[in-house]
Amino acid sequence: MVTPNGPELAAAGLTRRQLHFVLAVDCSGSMMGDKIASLNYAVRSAIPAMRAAAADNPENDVLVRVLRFADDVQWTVEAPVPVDQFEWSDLTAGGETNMGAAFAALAQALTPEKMPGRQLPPVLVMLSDGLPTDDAEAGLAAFMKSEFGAKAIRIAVAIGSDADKTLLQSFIGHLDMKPLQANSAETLVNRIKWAASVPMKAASAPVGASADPVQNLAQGVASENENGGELVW
Amino acid sequence: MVKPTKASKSAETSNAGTMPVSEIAGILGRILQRHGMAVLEDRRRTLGLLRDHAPSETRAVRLLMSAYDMDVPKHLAAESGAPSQFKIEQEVNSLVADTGLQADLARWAVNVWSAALSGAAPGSAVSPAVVAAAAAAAPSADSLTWGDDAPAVQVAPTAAPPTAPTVAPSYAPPPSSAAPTGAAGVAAMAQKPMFRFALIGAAIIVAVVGLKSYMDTPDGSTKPASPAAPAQPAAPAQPAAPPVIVASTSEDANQWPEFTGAAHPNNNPNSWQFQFNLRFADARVMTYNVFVAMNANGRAGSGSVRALDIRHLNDGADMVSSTPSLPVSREIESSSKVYITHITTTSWDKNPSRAPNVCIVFSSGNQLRPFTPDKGVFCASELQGNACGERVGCGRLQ
Repeated sequence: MVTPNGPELAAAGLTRRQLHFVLAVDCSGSMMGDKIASLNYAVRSAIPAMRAAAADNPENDVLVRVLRFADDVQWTVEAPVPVDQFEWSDLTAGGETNMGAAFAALAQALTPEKMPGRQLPPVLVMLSDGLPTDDAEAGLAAFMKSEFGAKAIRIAVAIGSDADKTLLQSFIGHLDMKPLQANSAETLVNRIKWAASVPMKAASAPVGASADPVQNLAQGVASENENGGELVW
Repeated sequence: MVKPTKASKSAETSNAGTMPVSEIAGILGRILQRHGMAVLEDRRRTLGLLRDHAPSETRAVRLLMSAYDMDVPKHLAAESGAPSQFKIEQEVNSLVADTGLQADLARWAVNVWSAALSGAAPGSAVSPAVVAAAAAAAPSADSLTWGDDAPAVQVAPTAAPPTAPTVAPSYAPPPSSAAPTGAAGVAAMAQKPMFRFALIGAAIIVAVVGLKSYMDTPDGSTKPASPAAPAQPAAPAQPAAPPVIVASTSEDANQWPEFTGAAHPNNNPNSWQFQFNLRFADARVMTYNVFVAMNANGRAGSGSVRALDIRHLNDGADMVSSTPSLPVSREIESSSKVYITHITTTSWDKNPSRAPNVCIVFSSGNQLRPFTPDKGVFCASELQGNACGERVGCGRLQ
């Protein structure tokens, strides 16, 4: 017997869509001190904005995951957590920048098998100040071959003026969208708040609302970067 | 083996950063051990690793990368075994010339790379001795030698040429007032063509003539008979000082003693190393060790000088005085085709031997060709104010 709320009806298209929001955080030694402290504060303070952005699209389920990478790669929030339940645990810094391994871990996690059901393009935010110390290009190539990796809206926040923006640009994969530049604690907070909310809205926007949501985001990034703030890092 | 010394420890603190040389060299060595020398082929990775392992040492990392960009680690790694002091000097000079870095910063960076690379040999940890040696901002030595590539301090009578005058315990009389060095210093005279060679010109020409005749001897190898040592008045008591060969104040180049051990380190014709002993008016005998490397243009370069009061020969490296990198200039006198190279110890990184500042001029001989230290000559005079003053002594380099 088929009920109004049964699986067949869900299969007909009334299931909620999921939006995976993944933070990949560089926790290498170069992030020690002010940078990691500012990052922890920034993400914590961005959570209300994330929830507000999710609330704007109640038909979607926003799920949050957090990946940290340094000497090794570790999901600090492995199982996707609804944004309403998401809490931030402060990260610590130390070790090398195995960004390639982080890309590979993202590629393994962002698969249809690991993300069943109807999916919006995931939003990936890469936060890094560093220069990768492993084969980042190989990891990035594997990531870009993954189904959801290629479809994802990819945002990068370059922490400090000497972050490897070339690689971050490759990660973004869109000529017009540049990495968000954060050269001080204050700008890092602003960038993370922006990255944690605006792309989420773009990803969950109804089809046809924008011909190219990434293009709109690129304009937003450019606007953000115009206000570079004080050069500290 | 170079032992860690108080001097080297004190030299560990550098204005390159707050992290001691040994510590950052240790970090760099561990990076190389963990990732292998191949990591040096990848600039981004090298910089990333340095930043990750020394996050608070921004300035130090930048200095090390400046040296990296000038291929310093590549050049040092090409050396068999630990880089020689002279190789380090060469790299410092190149770094200063090519990047505009201050000499002490360049030396710091080269020393760190040298220590790290020496300690990164397969299966070895960073050697404390190597680190300590690298930590010294200027060349240091153990109690008996100037370094791996340098000969032992020339003090034993047996080290002297058979005919060299052994003057101790006599005291060389001061030069006469008519002596060129009494009128003006070498540097001052060098500014005046009329007197350019007032100090050493005549002496060198005499020496050149003498050398030429020496080199023209039939077998080309037999040393000319040296005259007997001039009679000299007795020196003030200097207890326990062994007899030494000291540079001569004589105007007669034939009277000048020979100091062996002069060389082109690494067979580099633009680099020199030699040593000699000087007796000063207070009767102290100091041994000086000179490193010089010229830039490609051959007209300028840099070098360093170490000195040791011979009474402290057995007191270890703590008593070795050393200068920072010093400017070197060279003139090529076209008529006599003599290279005249100048280096003056205007400052010291450390001077536990209380070595007097000296102006040192040396010549390559009578051929227009790269300097060959053997059969060269030198004169040293005491720096008085900003000018080179009375001659302390001259000698031949062998």
